[in-house]
Amino acid sequence: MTSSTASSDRTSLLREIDKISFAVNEFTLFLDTHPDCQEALLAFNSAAKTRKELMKQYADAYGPLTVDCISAEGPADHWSWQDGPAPWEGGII
Amino acid sequence: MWNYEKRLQFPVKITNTCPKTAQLIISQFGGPDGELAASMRYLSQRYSMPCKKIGGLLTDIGTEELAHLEMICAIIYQLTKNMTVDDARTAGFDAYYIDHTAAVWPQAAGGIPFNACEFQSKGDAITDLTEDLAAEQKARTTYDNLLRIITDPDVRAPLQFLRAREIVHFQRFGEALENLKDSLDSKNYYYFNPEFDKQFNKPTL
Repeated sequence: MTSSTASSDRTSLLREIDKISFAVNEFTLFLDTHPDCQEALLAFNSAAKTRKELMKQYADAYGPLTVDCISAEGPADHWSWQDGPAPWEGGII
Repeated sequence: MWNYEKRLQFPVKITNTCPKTAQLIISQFGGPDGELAASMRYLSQRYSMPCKKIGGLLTDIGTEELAHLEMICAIIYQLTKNMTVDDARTAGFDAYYIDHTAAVWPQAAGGIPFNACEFQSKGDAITDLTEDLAAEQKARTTYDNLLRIITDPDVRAPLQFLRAREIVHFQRFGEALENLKDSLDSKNYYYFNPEFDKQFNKPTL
């Protein structure tokens, strides 16, 4: 795999996380004012589940997006949280 | 408390340096209707909000505003990080450059520093929610003004996303105000302050 393909795979996974996280956020605000809407509850549960899976997939392949994503089985001799570009750099997006 | 997530809410990737554009957009960081004021407004108002559900909404929207603030700062940073001395002479940005070089600092487009007087935390649920509705509209108008002037598609895309969020937040705050009024006396919503005159609150609040 070339480095540009690797970078593009990483970008497309991050885009998927952006999209599903947007859905989770949007359903959250909607449920804040419609706490008993069954349709929104189902949509939230489904999006939240997908987001959790994608966040784990990203952490395993490219590093953690949250401190909670830092794998307990990861390399113990290196702290991965500060690796990779800062979000405001626009580097991997 | 808060946890950081290492990504922007919506991607910002700008290739062209333009301090003039940064100097306009900086208003949505530290200006009167910017994202910093929005976040501090909602996060400050929530403590005394008598309706627990509305306090939760203020927390969630106030948190999203922090992510918006980060996007605005990323835009300003990317528009100025590669500027030359000649770029720094850009009319309007030159004075900012003298004080802050290429750092990000909260001020309005007109150069006025961020000021807490730009947002209200009044301690009356109706007053504060009405303030929040107006704040979302003022921010939307500011994004409209920016989008009328700015042509770079890399800059427009995140601004269009942020503009749309103002409309969603306006909708949610409108629902919160309606929900609150359902718990008040429909013959006189202003008979008492639901955040202070608690003895008149209905148990449903």
